[in-house]
Amino acid sequence: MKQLIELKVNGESYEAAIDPHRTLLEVLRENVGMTGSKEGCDLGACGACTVIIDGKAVLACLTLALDARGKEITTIEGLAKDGKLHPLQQNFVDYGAIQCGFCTPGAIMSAKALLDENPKPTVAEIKRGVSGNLCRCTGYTKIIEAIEVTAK
Amino acid sequence: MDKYSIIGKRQVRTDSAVKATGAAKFAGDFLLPGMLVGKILRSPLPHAKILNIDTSKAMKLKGVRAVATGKDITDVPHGIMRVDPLPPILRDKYSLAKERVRFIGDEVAAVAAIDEDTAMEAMELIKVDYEELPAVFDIWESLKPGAIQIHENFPGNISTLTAFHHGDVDKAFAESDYILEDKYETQRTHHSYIEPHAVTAEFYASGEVTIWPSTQTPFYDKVCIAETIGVPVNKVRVIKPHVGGGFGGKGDVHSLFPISALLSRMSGKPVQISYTREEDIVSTTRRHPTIIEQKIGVKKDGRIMGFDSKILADGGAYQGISMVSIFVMAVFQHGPYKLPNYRCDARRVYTNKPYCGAQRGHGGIQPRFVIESMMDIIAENLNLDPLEIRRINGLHTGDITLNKFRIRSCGHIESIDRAAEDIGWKDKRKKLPEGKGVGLACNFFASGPGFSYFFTNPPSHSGVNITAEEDGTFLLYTGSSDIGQGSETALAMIAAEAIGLSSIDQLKVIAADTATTPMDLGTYGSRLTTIAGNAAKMAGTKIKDELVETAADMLEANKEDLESRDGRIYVKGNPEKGVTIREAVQTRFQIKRIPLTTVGYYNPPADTGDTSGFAEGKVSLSPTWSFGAHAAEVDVDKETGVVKVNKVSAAHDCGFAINPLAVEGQIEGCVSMTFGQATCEEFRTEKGWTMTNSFLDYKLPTSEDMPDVIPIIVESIDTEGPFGAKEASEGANIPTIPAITNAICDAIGFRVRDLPINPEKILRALEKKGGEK
Amino acid sequence: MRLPKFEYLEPTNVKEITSLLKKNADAILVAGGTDILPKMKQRIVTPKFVINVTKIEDLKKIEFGEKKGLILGSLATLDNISKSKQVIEKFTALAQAAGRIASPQLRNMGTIGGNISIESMCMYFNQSHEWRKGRPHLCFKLGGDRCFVAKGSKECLALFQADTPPALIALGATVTIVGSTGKEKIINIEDFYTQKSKKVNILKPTDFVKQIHIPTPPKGTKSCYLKMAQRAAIDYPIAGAAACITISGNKCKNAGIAVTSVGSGPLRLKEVEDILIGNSITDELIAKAADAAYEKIRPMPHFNISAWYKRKLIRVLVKRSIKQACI
Repeated sequence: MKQLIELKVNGESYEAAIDPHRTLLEVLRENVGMTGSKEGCDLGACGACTVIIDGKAVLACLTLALDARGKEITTIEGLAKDGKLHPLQQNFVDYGAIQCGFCTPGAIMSAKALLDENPKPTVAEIKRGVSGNLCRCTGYTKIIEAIEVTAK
Repeated sequence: MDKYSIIGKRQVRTDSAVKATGAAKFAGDFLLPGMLVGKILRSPLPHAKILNIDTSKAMKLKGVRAVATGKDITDVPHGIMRVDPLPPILRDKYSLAKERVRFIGDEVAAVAAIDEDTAMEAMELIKVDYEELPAVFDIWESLKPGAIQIHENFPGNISTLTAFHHGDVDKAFAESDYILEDKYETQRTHHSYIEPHAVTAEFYASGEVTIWPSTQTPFYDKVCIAETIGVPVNKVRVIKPHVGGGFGGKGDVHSLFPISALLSRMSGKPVQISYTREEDIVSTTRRHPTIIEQKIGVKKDGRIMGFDSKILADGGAYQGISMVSIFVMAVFQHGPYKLPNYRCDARRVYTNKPYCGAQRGHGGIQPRFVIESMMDIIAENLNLDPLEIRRINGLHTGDITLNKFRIRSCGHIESIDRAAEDIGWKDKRKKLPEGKGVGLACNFFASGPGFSYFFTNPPSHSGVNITAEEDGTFLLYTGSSDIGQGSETALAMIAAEAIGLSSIDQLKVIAADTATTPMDLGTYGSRLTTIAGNAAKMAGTKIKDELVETAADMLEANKEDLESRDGRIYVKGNPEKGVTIREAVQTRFQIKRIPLTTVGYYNPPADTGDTSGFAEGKVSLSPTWSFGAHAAEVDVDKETGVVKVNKVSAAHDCGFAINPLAVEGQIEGCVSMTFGQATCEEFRTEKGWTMTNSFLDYKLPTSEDMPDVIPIIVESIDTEGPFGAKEASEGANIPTIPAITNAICDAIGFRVRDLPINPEKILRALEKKGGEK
Repeated sequence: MRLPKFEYLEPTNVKEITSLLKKNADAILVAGGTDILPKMKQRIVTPKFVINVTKIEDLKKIEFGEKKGLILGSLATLDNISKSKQVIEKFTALAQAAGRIASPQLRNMGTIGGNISIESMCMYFNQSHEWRKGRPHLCFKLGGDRCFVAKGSKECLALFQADTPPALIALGATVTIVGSTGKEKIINIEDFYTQKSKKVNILKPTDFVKQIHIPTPPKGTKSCYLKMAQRAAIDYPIAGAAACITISGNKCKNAGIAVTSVGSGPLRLKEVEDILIGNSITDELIAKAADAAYEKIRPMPHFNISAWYKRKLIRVLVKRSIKQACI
């Protein structure tokens, strides 16, 4: 049976009537109308659906929407403020870290969680920080560079 | 002052910001009112006759709006191999199976329902009666006399057969001082773009349909969709949204596009189909696995006398684009080394497995692994420097190969030199401690195909229109498809440079909408920079010419004396005397009151694309050719067999880098894909079942696996490409594998002859006492 | 891929878990969800009830005291464990094992209770409903009558691949299990495993793991976990080895050696420990110990990795992990 739930996404409250078996990714995309988080593999191995919940990067495809109630959910849509890109977004743009852009939201969310926890990561720490975000276009070089520059 | 204002400079892409914020809409991101979810029921059997499909129970399920089967589509098979002299039987597949299924994953029926749960439930209610047929999974079984025939039109299960014989190979071998015969195997790989195939379709009461597919070839899709659902071509509008990578995997016409249109027509509602990753890996195309037996004859000094190549490819259940795959595997061997005599016999065999097609580096990857490995072995056995044997055999600017390829520019030797220098070749080759090594390999690739295998008479290979706006900005219309490689930005740069703008912000690109943009054949064969780029340059130049004419009147100067640059048109040598582009546009509008729209187009030059020699493999396939060389450094853990690739120095001759930032990105991405093929990727099936159908089992390299990749841009300034540019998106995919395997040989003396290089293979070789050199 | 439908329950304390498990047959506990939700999407598991235990803060603790040792609530995340200062210092092998599981996101979600309870895996088992549809036969683990890994095998040979269990075994951990009566039972982590692939641990449907305890290692103890996987991230190990060595007066006073991804459960290698204990650790002795590991294990091939290679790899990993634990 559908339940009415409230989710706090990017600081705003959203209500949705959902069945318990819905994942956070489905609810964000289909009910909340935020399609920035992507479904790339369904099974937790690509990172395209990465969002930040209570400060930690997690996979929305393996998170039950009901479990996300009462938590602070940040998605890619929540990073730019007042029409200005977040420094990570800006550097992903400026350093050519975005090609097809499908892995980008997830990669940026992982990078944000990394820098929030460890503002001055080494290159090895950056590589590990985005190791759960598969990218098929860039070979990661420019993604790593963009994160490195942001941390400087 | 720099030669150019815009091109040749690192340009941030026009689509980056929208992608960085999550606002970019991909095919599965459309949320249309009343939209239904489409799902495809697939064959659970590798080979069977369909006796009956009962959809009645599914139709009765609450929330189901349409159920489609092969009976609901026309009898026109889909596929993109269609022009003369290709036989029509090359199109051997339907969007929904008619009578027979040929692999596990073949499309059998489709459902549209109010949500995904309902659609999934409905699929369980469709009852399909099959009569199972014997299936073949192994090419040798498939080739046996008496084996079950997978397609009636292709006796012996041979889907493609080519035999190209140029010169006298037997004589060449007789005159050779040294002949090497060797055998290699390559594995199946999958493109594994991060966005699985998806489509949104909306059929209107007017009988028109609009489709937003994740595609590389919207103009092909349009025709195939129209044919499959039986509507006139002009009623189908394909709009390419942002595409989450393709790499050749979204260049064939995939069943979900016509199916989505069909379901939308049947239900009267918009329909969206998004493949699961499993569906995507199983039911789309992949790179051909091959067995290649190669014979190379050389003189003592390393000069190549002849090649003899036998290629056997496992094609899977359908033809797809593979006619081209086999063709290019054979003909791409004609570079970067000059071949005086050449013979290639290639066969592609049907099996009851997911089928193969084009993947980045199409046709180059497999034979290049073989040839570059063998060049090293020959060098070793003749006591030659592996770089020198590559240099002395290299093609040069002005050469025409045996099979008519015209070399208009050539960065072969510079690529070798710069890759070798960057890796530290002199100090490292044969000088590193046991277990460490360096290796180098070269490449050669087309800058776009010179002929169309889809349209017999396309209006042009690529059209670009540019329209001036009242405020002195411009709209650029192109049918070409940016799928992440950055082609829209490159076209904007080329056009802006040609017009004389100060920034690409003054030019907005509108792309890949079959209803509004001029036709372009699509994104494949690494064609856009050269082919659409030339069209953009022409359209931009025409704009400039018109505006210079106006400015000449305004300045009372000769138009020959004017230059258009950085947003101004001025007298050469006297920049003060000039007008802005905006002023020129407005003045022209005032005077003429005629819209300022120019038409640019490009067709490969007359000496390219003559298909009369197609059957013999003599086609000047591409307007121009890229070159390059990669050097790799590896560390082999001799106890575990693990190969760590530390660095790849990847030199690529792209003619001229329109956008160096994007060229670097293409080179880095190329290396990552073939690094994956070299070390961890393998698409495996067992009795027709795909075993590697998730991203846990089909292993793309992660950020922690990648070596340091050093992109080295070599510019040979081509005479045919726009501003000298050639391709940069596929050629750099090709030499990575043999560069790595050559480095492994330098490190431990073991020659890798089959892929991927897993640690077990290396350890077994090491235990065999050093293997062989 | 959608999850199957289920009823959702959310207990707020430990007692409630037990009563919900007792009341609802066909229920499954979900914490991180990283192992179970994919299986549900693939319709390998389709429980009627999902009991989300993540609201029980009490089970998330990571506590350390010299006397009481390390206590990990079963819901402590792998990420938090891998980054805990005390775990890194005193229980290095565990920090290394937890820190190399899958990916950052999955470590943020996955819990230690989940990781030790993870099911064995197999190419013929971890597949979707769609994949299974046309299969004429199912494997033992899916309720069928055969094993596809080894034809003729009378039992399931799926592979146990979790990373933390060998570290926990080497470090001498115990597991606290709460049973259907609410009674707690403390067992050695080795005894948590059945060494049977079809059901890898002893948990009954009404049991759950409450916490894990590791005694403070004596002075002179170091530990190490080494994993080899096909990729540096995301993948399960091809093989993993943990070593915990206590050196006292130049001699090995105590040793814990365990390996993973070689069979139906994590394997403690007593034979290897016995070679080390009481002796001074030399390269020769380590080589002898590694040889003993090689002799002891009888791995099954899995997918494209042969038993031959696994044994070789285990010998190297055991050798290297002992060495690192002695540095």
